[in-house]
Amino acid sequence: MIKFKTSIMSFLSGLPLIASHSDAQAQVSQADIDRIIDFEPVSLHPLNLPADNLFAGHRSHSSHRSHSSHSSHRSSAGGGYDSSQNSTPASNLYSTPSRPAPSYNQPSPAQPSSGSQLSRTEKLKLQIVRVQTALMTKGIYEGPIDGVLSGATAKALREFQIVKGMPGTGVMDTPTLNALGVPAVQ
Amino acid sequence: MSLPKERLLFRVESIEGIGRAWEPDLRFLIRCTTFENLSTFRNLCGSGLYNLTALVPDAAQASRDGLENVVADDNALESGDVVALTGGSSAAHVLFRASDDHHTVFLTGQCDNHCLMCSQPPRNSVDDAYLIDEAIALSRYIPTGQSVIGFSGGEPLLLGSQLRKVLDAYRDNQQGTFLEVLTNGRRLADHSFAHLLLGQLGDRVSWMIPLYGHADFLHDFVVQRHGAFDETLAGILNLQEFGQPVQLRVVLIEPVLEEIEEICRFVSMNLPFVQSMAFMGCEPVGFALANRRICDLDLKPYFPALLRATRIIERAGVRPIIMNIPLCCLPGDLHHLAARSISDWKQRYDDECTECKKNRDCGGYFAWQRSNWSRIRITPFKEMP
Repeated sequence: MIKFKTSIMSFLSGLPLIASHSDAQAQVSQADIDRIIDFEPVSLHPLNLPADNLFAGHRSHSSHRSHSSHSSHRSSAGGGYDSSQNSTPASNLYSTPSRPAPSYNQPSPAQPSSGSQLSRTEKLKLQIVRVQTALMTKGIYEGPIDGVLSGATAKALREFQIVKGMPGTGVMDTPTLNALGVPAVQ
Repeated sequence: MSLPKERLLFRVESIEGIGRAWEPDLRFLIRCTTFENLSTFRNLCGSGLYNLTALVPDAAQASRDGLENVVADDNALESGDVVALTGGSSAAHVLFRASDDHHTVFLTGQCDNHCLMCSQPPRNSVDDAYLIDEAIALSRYIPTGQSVIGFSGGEPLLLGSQLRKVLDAYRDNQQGTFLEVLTNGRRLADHSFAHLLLGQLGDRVSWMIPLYGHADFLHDFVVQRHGAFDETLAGILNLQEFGQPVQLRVVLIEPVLEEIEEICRFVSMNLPFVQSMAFMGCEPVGFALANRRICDLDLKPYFPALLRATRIIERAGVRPIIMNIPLCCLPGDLHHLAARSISDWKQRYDDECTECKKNRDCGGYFAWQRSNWSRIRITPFKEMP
């Protein structure tokens, strides 16, 4: 690898020379040079590195004190993917975008919801929602998509992990997120 | 059941991709091409994902199930595209196409110049202020990781301080993406406005500014506005003061070509700090068609002047770039300056081009060039020169 890098470096260091004499060296077209200069480094790394996943050890809803108030305060906000949504038939789905935004929504559309403005709890919720969604699209989860790491979610995670030949921990650890194709919320 | 009357943005996603891309405050159109997709979609909605709409090839099944749906041809939209939909209208406005290489955000139809060859004639009486909020919202909808996003109009500076909000939104939501603003720079002549717009802007924005003359009489004639030359120059100087990279752009129409060496001499003496200067073929749409006599040109008589002009700015350290002209319409000693500059969605090649030895390096010509311009002659290169 290092050898490869050095040879690339020495190759690139010769480029300005070629570029400044491109008139003289007609066989090297400007477009070729541009293509080489545009050459962006490509690194080989997984979707999420261990440090990306803030919630690798997060176990279940009941063990986490901070979630216990969720259902009440979210339903008062009148939106979001809380359990009251489950009883809402999909048929009037379209009223949703004009409904009040979920409580953790950013007021301005210019702010990234997956960005650092989210509180830790909101990030965890978003990450669980994505995991639940991914599990459902793979047909191994049928419960509510509510951002709560419930027993059913952990069970589906375990099932997915076992199918993938990973230890069946039921925890959203980094290898599991990578296998699911879900980027960690940071 | 129908979409609301307001214009709403949606990002297109596949069933497989939604777990990766889901955000609480965006709307998604989920491509459901199979019965199985539709059943998964139904489960996702039933389980609490409130911001999904089905994108189906045919309404029958989805409507029977009472699912909110949008009907579109199977290949019309793909994952990562962003569309604006309005209830009651059957038209979808695609604001972002993931498969394109060039992305431009249209900020306004209004302009304070009135250029002789304008390809996008200003619509100054149309109130399109909604485009600003839409552009800001779009910054969240466009999938991250684009290399460049351009901003165009009309004249983006007419947004005033709102333009800064737009740029900030893209700077924050599209990290690592370079932003290019196509503007006449006139409003930046006002130093306090320049400070408002450019202060602490960072180093990911660059400015593409047309300059059509070495003196006011020529530039003001081409843009059809008195005083435009002085303002554009002051704007460029203010951009330099705030450390912003500038690319000058000249469109090669007759009055400009007549003075192209003078213009380049002016740039090399007075604006040697600009990064590059683009010499652009005239796009045969809009006002250019009304001013055909000066826009529809055979470039050949100007080749020597063009070559000298590029050398003048090269000597001043300004990089010349030739845009929008196929290689077979340029002399060999300018080929190395030609860029593949025509946005891919309006780029065309001819049947003859398939046999051309240089077609890989060639930018082709505008989709509407052959029908509208009389002087363009496509001749394939048989041998590599």
